[in-house]
Amino acid sequence: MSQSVGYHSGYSQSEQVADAGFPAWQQLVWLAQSVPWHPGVFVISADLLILVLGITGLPQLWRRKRVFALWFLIDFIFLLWWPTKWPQYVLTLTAPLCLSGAESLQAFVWLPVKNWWQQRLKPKPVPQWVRLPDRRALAESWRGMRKAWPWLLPGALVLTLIAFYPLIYQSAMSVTDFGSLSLRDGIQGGIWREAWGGLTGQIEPVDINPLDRASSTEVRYIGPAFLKILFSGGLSDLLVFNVLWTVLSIILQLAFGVTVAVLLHREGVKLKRFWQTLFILPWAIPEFIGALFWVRILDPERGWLAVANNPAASNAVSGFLDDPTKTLVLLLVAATWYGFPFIMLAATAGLKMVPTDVYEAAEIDGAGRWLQFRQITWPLLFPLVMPAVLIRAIFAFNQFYLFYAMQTDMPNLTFATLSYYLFAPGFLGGRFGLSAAVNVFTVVVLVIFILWFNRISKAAEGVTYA
Amino acid sequence: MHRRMTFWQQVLYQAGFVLIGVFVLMPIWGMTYLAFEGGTIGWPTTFRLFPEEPTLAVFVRVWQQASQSLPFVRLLRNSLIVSGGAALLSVGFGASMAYAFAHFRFPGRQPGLFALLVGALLPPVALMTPLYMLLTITGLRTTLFGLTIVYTAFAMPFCVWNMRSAFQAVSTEVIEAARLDGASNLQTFLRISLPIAAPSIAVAALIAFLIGYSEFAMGWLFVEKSSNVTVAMAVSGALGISTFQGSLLAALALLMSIPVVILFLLLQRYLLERLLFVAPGD
Repeated sequence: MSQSVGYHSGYSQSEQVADAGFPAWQQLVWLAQSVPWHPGVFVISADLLILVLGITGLPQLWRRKRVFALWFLIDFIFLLWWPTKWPQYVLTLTAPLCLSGAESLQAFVWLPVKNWWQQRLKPKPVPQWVRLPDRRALAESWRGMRKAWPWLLPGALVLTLIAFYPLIYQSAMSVTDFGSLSLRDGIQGGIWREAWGGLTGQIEPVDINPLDRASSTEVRYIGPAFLKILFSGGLSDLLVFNVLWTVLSIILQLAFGVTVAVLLHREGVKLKRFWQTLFILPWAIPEFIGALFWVRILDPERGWLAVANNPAASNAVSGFLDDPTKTLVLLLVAATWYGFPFIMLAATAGLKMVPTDVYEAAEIDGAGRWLQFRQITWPLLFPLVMPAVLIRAIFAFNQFYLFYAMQTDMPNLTFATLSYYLFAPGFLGGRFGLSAAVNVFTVVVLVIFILWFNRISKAAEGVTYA
Repeated sequence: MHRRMTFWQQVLYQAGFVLIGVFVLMPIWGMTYLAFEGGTIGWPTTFRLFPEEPTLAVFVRVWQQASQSLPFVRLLRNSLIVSGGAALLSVGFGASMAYAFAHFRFPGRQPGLFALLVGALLPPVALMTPLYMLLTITGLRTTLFGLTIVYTAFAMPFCVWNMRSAFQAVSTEVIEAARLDGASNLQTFLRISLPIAAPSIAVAALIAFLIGYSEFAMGWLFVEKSSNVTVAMAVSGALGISTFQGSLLAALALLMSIPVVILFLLLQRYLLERLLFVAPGD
């Protein structure tokens, strides 16, 4: 027994494990995809779906079958901490994950469908929107349109030309192998020719690996091959990192920003305005300049901290960091620095709206400071900072300049950064079709997310500069 | 919350703020000190908190030769042309649209608002590929006007969205009163809504301006002539070249952010009011 444990802890420190260079969260990546050893064997992969369902079902599992929820959490934390990251280790998570997935399937899919079906069986008046609009309503909307169109025209024209038409053009690009070699043909209309021909079935898709660099000087139709990879959770290491990054950076910004706001809100604190003005500084500095400032401090070989720790540091040119986990930490520090002032300001404004007499009542009841925050401040404050948080989350998901300035590498990339690297001249660059496909993917994810949060709240109305 | 703070509580709070202040200022100081040290090639190899011999030499050099042989003022001019142009185009073409979204009911209004929101939240990268192609086809790609169009595409949906909120915040009573006096839609817009909403529109324009001002990655894709380089591009360019000079980069970055910081601090209260809590509509 002790030998077997000793063997595994020894193995986890071995070179074989260190060489693999997996990030701490690698097990999440393994959960999000099929085993990597047999590419092309599985016709469809439900791994990503099960992971999403499993995570959303956790609270339910915690209430109903706590043993399994504990199993999942303890096992998961252990796997995050344990240095060996082989894919087969996630098998220990399969049972609780599937149970949790079943819970969420029941709560979010089965019950709504059942309710909907039962509602359908009951006879109901025809809802308003099914009825044909009568003549009066038609006339009214016609009048509205006639009144509005001269006002809309200039803006609509410009936006169509520089934003919406380009997005359609991009979708056409994403089903071709358009690249730097076929640039001339693409400019002369090759993209529309191939995309139109391909989508109407006149041109057979060329069978090439979408990740290979195109070798033809003419644009060719390849079909939605790369889009399919993206939407079926291929590139799962990137997907997992991007989501993890969004969640962690937003939690840190929120926690730090709200803490500072609450500290500043305390009555009787001296120098309030001074501190607030000081803490706003990062917000006023352009994002990539802020990122450069942090590179200057944190660069593991040449940064201020590195030089302070190791006076003999060389001035050799270093690229990105080698350890993805440490890179994530550095990125998070920079993102928190840049992002917390905005949340702080939103929370400060929100705190001013919280009535003070509630606290007096709580104090009489003997509620401590933490209890006051937990029971009064937070529930009242949360809806007020929610729009800022959601917008921040979208920005984090799409973050680009920070990653560009830090010169990070796989898997510490967002999809936006990947799209840029696929496009711009360089090692990966010049694959315009692939870059377009990544962008189409990003836009679809964005649309789904906005639709979803428009449903859960009217938060979108409060969208402002973030 | 109403208990008076004891002396030690006050000390504790202030100590906490000092710690946060250090966190906030550390990277800024790291850059400032590097700029004043002058002449550092690459990153510095010795650790110091303060420059050994503070000098303004790098600032003078950057002022005269920020990128290639161009003086800083020239870069600033390019920056002002492209980002100022983008802000003006966004406001100019978008204002009437924002007004329509705020005050008229017409078919397709909801989908239009949704499209605006998606546009406002798109990452700049998402429009890069097609705009590059379209501007190449029209022969505008390498001109400053081409870059202005790119930045307009980034800034305009956001600008329209914010101007809509600004117009909505104008109280309906004023507008109703004007209507009763026989003012047409155009007159109400020009005489009443526009002047009242002007400060908010100015803030929207300022943010649109800043989107272009701090953008560089698209700039490097689109601009070819070195005389068209903007300030932000020069900063990112200073990072990339083989004869990398830490002090130069630091000085440029500082020169670039100082005006923005001053602007933000001056307009602090104002920005908060206009940007954080816009009257929720609909």
